[in-house]
Amino acid sequence: MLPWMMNTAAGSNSESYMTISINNVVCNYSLPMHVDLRKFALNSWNCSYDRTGSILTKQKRHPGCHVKVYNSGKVYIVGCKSEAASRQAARSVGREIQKIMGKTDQKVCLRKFRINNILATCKFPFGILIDQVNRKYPKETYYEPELTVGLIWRMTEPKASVRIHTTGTIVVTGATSEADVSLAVEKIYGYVKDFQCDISKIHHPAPRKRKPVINEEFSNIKRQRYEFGDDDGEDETGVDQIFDDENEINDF
Amino acid sequence: MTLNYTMYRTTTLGEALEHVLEDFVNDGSITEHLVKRMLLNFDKAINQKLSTQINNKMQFKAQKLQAYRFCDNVWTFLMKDVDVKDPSSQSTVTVQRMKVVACGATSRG
Repeated sequence: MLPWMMNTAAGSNSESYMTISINNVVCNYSLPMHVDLRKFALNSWNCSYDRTGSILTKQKRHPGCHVKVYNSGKVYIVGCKSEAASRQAARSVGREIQKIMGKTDQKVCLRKFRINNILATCKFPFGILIDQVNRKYPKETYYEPELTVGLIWRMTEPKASVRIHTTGTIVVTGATSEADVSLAVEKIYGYVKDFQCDISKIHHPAPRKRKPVINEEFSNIKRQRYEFGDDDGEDETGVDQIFDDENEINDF
Repeated sequence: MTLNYTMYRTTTLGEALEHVLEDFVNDGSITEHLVKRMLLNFDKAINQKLSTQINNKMQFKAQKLQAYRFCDNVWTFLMKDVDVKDPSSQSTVTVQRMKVVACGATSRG
């Protein structure tokens, strides 16, 4: 969680404290040794190694993440909530591999440790008029309302992809460090604060799931039909005719 | 000779059989080779019966899955505070720690 202070448009006196929550950190590194995956699987817990595959998957509790280990010594770690946690997880997995492979006497380093991707979300306390943003910055943004709900802003420095929603939620993906994430959010704020709007005034489209429309009158008529038994088949309300038409349509 | 899982030799039934066979061998009335043949027969019989004839089902629900492992098509689970229920006898046994070793069911035997 990165705290981030900013001055809201309401007044320079009130400072709102917004938190950027980092949801996912993906990193990878490689160990300078060949890993016997079967031996590793037999000697460690919370792991899964298919005979067919060449990947051993492991789950760690502290810090919570998924780990993929390859024969060659490459390790991918997904799911940590911060850069530091990711590094800690990487080192602990490296240590475990070192112990199991029996190389405790040798010095084993994490080679080419690299954070590939950080996913973070932030919520601005105001709504954003996405289509206006798209009109003003057509080169950097991509907004296709029929495909995705949010507007996608591709930044070059820092290299990140930002999804901006009308509710004010900002999702940053593709960043390579926490500092980059902060920078991206700050920049977006700079661009977007001119297009503020009140969240409650945003028109929300009707929800997709609709309740079936029950025509109360119709059902009453249907019940009445069966109540008056001495009709001789004559339908006073004309419902019979409607049902017959429906049957004809169904025959097609 | 088709291969069957030999893990049932470590069950109570299997161990009892092994003890008896060991006694016979020590007396000298049975050869080692015969013991091995008998155990193979035991494997075949128990695998067959367990897969076809036995229909008992037990349900268990644990508070926590402490650890799991999947290697060589064998699942190993370590669980804590397990309630084992027998639907036929309506009895529930609570166990503090349980280890489950599960091999994939094959259509052989």
